[in-house]
Amino acid sequence: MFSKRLLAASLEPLMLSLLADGPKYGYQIIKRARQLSNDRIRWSNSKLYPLLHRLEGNGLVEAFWQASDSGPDRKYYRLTPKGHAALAATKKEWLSMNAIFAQLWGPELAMG
Amino acid sequence: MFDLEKALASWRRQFTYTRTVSPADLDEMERHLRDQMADLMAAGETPKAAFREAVAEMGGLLDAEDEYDKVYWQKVRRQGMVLHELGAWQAMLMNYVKLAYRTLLRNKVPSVINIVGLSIALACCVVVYVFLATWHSMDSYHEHGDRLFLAQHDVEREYQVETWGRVPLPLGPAMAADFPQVERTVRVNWNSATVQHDDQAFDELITFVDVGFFDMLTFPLKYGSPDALADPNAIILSDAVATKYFGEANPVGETLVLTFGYQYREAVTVGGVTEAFPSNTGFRFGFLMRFDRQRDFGLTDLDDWATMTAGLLVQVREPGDIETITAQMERYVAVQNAADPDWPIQSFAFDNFANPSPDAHRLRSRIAEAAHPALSFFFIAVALFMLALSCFNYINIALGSAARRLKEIGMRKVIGGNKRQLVLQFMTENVLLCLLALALGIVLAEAFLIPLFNSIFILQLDLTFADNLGLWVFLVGLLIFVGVASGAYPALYVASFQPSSIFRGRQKLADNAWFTRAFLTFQFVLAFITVMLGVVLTMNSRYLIRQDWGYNPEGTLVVALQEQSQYTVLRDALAQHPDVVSLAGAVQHIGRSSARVVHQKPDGETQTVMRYRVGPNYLQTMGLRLRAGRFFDAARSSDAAEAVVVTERFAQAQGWTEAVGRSVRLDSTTYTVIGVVEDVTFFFLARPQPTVFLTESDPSFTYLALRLRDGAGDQVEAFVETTWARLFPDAVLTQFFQEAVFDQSYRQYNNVVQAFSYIAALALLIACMGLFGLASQNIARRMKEVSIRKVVGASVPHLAFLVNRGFLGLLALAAAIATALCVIGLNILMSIVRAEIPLAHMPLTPLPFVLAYVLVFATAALAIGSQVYKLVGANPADVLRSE
Repeated sequence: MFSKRLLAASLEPLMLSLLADGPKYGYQIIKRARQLSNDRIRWSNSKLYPLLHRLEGNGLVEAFWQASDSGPDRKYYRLTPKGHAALAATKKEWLSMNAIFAQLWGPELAMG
Repeated sequence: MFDLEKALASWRRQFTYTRTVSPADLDEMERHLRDQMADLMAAGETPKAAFREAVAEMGGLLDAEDEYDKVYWQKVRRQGMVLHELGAWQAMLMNYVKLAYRTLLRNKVPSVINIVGLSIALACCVVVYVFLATWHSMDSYHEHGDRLFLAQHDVEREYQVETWGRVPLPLGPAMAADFPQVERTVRVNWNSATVQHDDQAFDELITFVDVGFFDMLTFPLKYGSPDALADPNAIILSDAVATKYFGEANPVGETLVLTFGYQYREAVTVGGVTEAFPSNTGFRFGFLMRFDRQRDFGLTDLDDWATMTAGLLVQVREPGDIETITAQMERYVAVQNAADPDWPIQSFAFDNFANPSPDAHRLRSRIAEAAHPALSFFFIAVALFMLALSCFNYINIALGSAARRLKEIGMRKVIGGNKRQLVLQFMTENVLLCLLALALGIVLAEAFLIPLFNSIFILQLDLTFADNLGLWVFLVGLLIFVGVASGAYPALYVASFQPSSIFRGRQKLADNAWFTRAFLTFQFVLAFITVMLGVVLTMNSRYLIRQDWGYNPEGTLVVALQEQSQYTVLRDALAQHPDVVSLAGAVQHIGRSSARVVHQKPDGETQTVMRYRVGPNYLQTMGLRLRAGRFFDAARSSDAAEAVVVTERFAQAQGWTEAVGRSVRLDSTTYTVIGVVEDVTFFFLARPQPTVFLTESDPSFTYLALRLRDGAGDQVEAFVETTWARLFPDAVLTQFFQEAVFDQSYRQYNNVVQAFSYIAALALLIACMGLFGLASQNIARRMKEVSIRKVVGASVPHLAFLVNRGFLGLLALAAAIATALCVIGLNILMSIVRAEIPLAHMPLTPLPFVLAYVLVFATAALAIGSQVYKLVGANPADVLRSE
């Protein structure tokens, strides 16, 4: 498991990154995060949706409803241009942080 | 069979009243649940289990709400929905207020009890606030307050350092000349004078101040100019004095005739009138004159370092300058010590005039009244005590009436009201009730308590709302405090009930019966204590007035003389009256004045004792009781030169068993003791002092005492009046009966007693209101039981006893606790008092306690009795049918 503070810090960058390759609905995002992290990231829904709504409020994300074959409509979220810019900025930040760690822990990092 | 659609609909319903979660949000969440369930069922879960797990993962209701709240408020701020939001709040609040109003109307009796009880307590709080605000802002309104300082000095007397506010006469001018930091100094002194205008004359206190007075203390003038103070023939009056002599007219230019010490007579012109003093004025005056005018009225040497003036105000250029000055005051100490070795000042110091140190009340003969912390503490205690009593009442009654509102609470919960909303609703009701109580309290304070306070105490209070931010802040704070203190517990308690247990009839309030009873007992303990103390103090004040003072004050009329020449003329004229048994002159008169003299003991030690110079038959006339030897004898001329009569205490202090015939050295003159009299109490509540009486041969008497035949007081008083008018038509007559000597100090003591009695009455009233409320609820709750008992033949007295016996036990318990506390407290108090003042209290008897029991029980019986009456009148048929 990750520490709470790391989770909190990575929440927004992760969310933006998850939406980078196309629109997704809430349940999909949670599922994807669990897959990627081998179940180590389990966002509670009461945290996820308010975050999405906040990002929407900030203009980083926009939402739209889309019909579905398996039941009622789903609400999808996708990045806005502003969201893409924010993602680029945060990516740069994380990469430079990563570079520092790479210099410090080079061999271990390579082992993953 | 599990119905998914029904389950989802029910899940959605819990969010119905949650404004921050929109229907669209709910759609989204519902879709999420469906997706997750589909996955779970694919993995082999039953629909029911899958639903449960998905919902559980969704997070608890409140959890989700909090998160949505945050986003919602962000939206509110961002999208200008503030107005919309306020509207929603207002609508909700209006709804609560409407509900509260209806509840108040529906529960008239408990509401009235709560409002009246609280309003009494709040009225007390308001008065105490006004008192404290006035008391602790004494003289703070002068413009240069931060740069104004009052001089004081330390002196060692009889091995104790005392701090006095008087200073040597020349200190002010010397400081003004020596220190560049001193902007100005103003000396203050007093002298009494007879002031005449047309045919009215009064004895008044004239205040002498240096000319810079009005530049220093910014008293605005109503008429005239402050410059008039510089005019030696002018006098400036206070508003009150101007009204007393001249009514509402502008008196500038009018003439007043002043007579100082019966010999200096002068006509002065009114030069100005001040505005009425604000109530927080500690330094007051009636008549102001130039300081150096005292030269013409007997105080000739204003440069004498051995003579003191009443006070000295120093205005410095910067507030910090005062430390520099204080450090250099040493130079004046030497000058003063050389001039007056009998009063060796150790050091001078200064205290800010507008913002005095908390010890300012300890300063002896301070020219302005200063706040005494004991009095502040007393009033704060009273206010908190009243507030505690009425808050307890509120809690008791609110918990009791919650029983009637159980179904309402249950309904609210079932249709989706959460705990927070219920608490908010009850708190709104409570704040509304407190607001009504506060309004009523302010009316009570303005109409009754403040006039009462002003009639009892010298300090005058004034309740003004304009320009009084402090008062408003206090009122709002008080409202919030009382609202929360009295409402929080009942609201939280009631809001935590479970609807299921309410509707099954299982919710009982019995759990907190001990709590209610403990509150009521506590209230009655407090009520008993105040009533007992009230009764004890009242009885004590009656006891004090009948005290043995060591002489006989009854049937003694005293005339205060103005000139030496009056004595012989008046004595001869009054001796003619058949009802005058005896009469005598005195320089110092018991209860009015005294002098001190240094007694040199044979072993070289000295002792200061009280000394009275009296006419030969004064001691007989005043009814002093002889213990040994004889009184002065007018026929023996040697008495004046060498005889002294001493009190028992004086004899004891010397260790004499036989005093008559011993020698006493007083101020270097030797006298022989010719008689010993019983100890005399000269001043109210004062311990008898070792005292000597000397007699005068050449009378310079200022008092003439007459002993009258029983019941002849009025005739002789009238006779003195006509005789005086015939002999001295220009002079003002001052005569009084000796019993009046203690009147003023006795009145002050009595005022405290009176204040205490009012507090006791209010405490009893509030406690009985609480009892009334509980008794009415108790009877309402047991109406059914009582009716059945009635039907099967129980008598009314038996029923009344049955229903109220709980209260009876509780009152008895309160009485027992209060009695124990009172007896212990009074014994401690008395042991302290006895060491200080031997006369201050009567022996403790059961009588005041019995009186207190009767009073409290009778009032309580009245409160309960009104409810018993309801019980008597009820028809069992009606009661049982309606249930």
